[in-house]
Amino acid sequence: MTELHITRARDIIHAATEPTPERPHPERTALVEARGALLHWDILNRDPHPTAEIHDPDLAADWLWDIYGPETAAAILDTTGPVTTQWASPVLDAARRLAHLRWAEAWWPSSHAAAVPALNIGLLRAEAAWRTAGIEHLLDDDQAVERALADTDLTALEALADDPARHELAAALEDLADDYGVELRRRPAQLSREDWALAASGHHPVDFALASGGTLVDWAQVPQGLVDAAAGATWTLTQRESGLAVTVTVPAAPEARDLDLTARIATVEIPLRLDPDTGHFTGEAEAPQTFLLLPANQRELRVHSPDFVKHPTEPADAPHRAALIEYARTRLTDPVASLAERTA
Amino acid sequence: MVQGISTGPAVPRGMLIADAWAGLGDAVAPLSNASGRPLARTVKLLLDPLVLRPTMNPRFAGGLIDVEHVDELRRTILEAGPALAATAAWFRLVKQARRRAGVTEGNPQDRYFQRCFELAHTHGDPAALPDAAAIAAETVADVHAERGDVTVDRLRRFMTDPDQVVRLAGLLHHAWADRPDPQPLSPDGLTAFLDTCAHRPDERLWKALAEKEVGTAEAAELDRPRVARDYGLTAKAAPAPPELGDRASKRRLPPPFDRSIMERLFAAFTAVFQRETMADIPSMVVGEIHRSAAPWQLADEPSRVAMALGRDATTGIDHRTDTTPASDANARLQARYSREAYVHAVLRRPDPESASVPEDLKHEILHVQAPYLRRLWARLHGRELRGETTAAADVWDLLDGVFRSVLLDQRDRLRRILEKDGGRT
Repeated sequence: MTELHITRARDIIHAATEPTPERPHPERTALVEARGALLHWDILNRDPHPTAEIHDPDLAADWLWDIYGPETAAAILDTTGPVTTQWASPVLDAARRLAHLRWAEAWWPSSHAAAVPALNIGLLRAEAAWRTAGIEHLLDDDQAVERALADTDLTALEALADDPARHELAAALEDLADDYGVELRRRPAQLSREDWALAASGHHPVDFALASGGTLVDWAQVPQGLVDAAAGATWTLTQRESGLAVTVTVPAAPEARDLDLTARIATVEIPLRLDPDTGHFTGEAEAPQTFLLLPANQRELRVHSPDFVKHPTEPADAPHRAALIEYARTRLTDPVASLAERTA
Repeated sequence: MVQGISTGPAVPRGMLIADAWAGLGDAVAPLSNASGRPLARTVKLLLDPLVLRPTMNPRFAGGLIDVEHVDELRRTILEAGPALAATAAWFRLVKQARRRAGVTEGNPQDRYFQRCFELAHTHGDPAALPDAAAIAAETVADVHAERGDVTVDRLRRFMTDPDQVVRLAGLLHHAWADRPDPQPLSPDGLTAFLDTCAHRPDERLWKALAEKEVGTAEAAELDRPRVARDYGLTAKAAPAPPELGDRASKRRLPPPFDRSIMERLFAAFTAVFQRETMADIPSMVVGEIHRSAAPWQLADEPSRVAMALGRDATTGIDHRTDTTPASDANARLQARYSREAYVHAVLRRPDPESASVPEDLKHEILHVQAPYLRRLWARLHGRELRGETTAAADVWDLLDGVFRSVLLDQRDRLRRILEKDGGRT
């Protein structure tokens, strides 16, 4: 049973699974954009029902009953105070699964260090297209199915070992593509993914280390699947013949793309490149002699992707990250998880 | 799902429709989505305009239906059951015929749903018909012939015929030389309409705006330096007469006012359109020449009013949300824009200001009014060519739908930036 707290603020009706109508951190948010309302689930609180932010009650009334049940939906639109629901429907199920797939596409914490393999984006998107079709009647985007199908590549499904679910999904998507007049893409199959356990074993001889430190990379500063979600970035200060040098190492995520990173520590900016042999982003830059005199709080390392954010921002506390990694690991063996998660 | 139906004085329309729809069974599956609900386009193209007809039956309109009309609504859908089942069967056949004919363009639901409903009325259930497959093939051929290369090719031939070129260039010259000086008009009524159009669209106000030629008056500012450029409608300092043009391609179309006559017609040809509602090619070309010299470069006053409304509804939209909205429509679009920023964070899209985002995209995201007015113009232009009229009740769907489509395209472009390798599969 889900308890919902109903509040009205300005032009928005909130039906929230938490007592306060605050949006959860983006990293733990699974979202569906419906007509007249946003629906979001907090990944770490396993409520079957979402929080609704209703900005157009007239539009939302059309489908809200299918998410919360008719009586709860009517109460949300008309009253305040807590209500409960135990409603289950194929529409609610499809909405929740779609939201989860979009979350995984954005925030899946792939990591060698935490043994969370990368997900197959092709599979994720194929499943997302199918779930989109299950709730197309309530989505804000009237072209959502076409958009999702345009992103769908059957190659990933066809390359999958013989899983009965994949045949079903592939056939369903072919039908769907036919209904919407979209031609599904097929790319030549790519090589199987690298073995993520092996790639984690790079080692880094460090000599003459004068100082060193480490930090966790803020997920919000890098795109999904670039940096190992669990491992930290490390820096070392070494004496070279020419002077001081800072070396930074950031473990890459499994199957990381070849984008560059930038590290900053004190006034030193260090461009980092992916070394495919070690599976690490590394880089080195000269450091001023004064570096050694800096107090520790001014020698904090920040890593960001310049292709992703303009300026690195102060990292926010994100205690939920460990929980998300743990959650992702449970999904790998969860029989009700998506095909992409189960076959990762 | 029926248990909630009698509890209140009114019932959500979507729930009633879903309930009645479930009663129609598997026969309408081709018109249903994966959850068994009628497809969005089933409601939009079949149930609303052809079965429930809320404009003629106001008791079936709106998000909530009074309890006293609930049974009638259900009965209306159930009575249409055989016709809908036959429509579904025809749709299946037409899709097969389409596949055999190798037609891949367009959305079959948009293109064939209403045709199939007609077929259902003319021929009944195709299962009982020996030549059903032939009729389906004919339908596909018909719809296909109304579109595409045939027409574009004729347009090109007409516009590159040396005799025509001289005549048309003369027409274009005169149309622009004879442009009347626009008369700006003071208090407008635009804001009053924008305040109500999302929920209580006022038909009288809408008609008055057109009768008073408010759209034309509001176009006066476009000839001032940089105004039309700031609206994204031209790359030039001020609008200039277009060229006739002898080529066009779907990619890289210039802003609307800089498009040649050929490009304007071409862009409309390749979008969704119904040939039967469009004029023949020579009159279309002449019409387009006159349209190019008209206020907002649109022919119908309601289209011009819509441009002025779109302009006002998107003025001042930006990342700061503390500005006081100028109208209800403006507030709603601002709210959509703010939601979009939140959705970007949830979907982990790159910051529009990061190094990977090209300047033009960054500028369009931060100054969304220009791409908005460009797209609104293209939609209105297409409606004019198809002879579609715009009623007060359509205006908000148009204004909001264009904004949504601009934002979603920007979102897709942002996502693809970091997928230069095509993404991992």
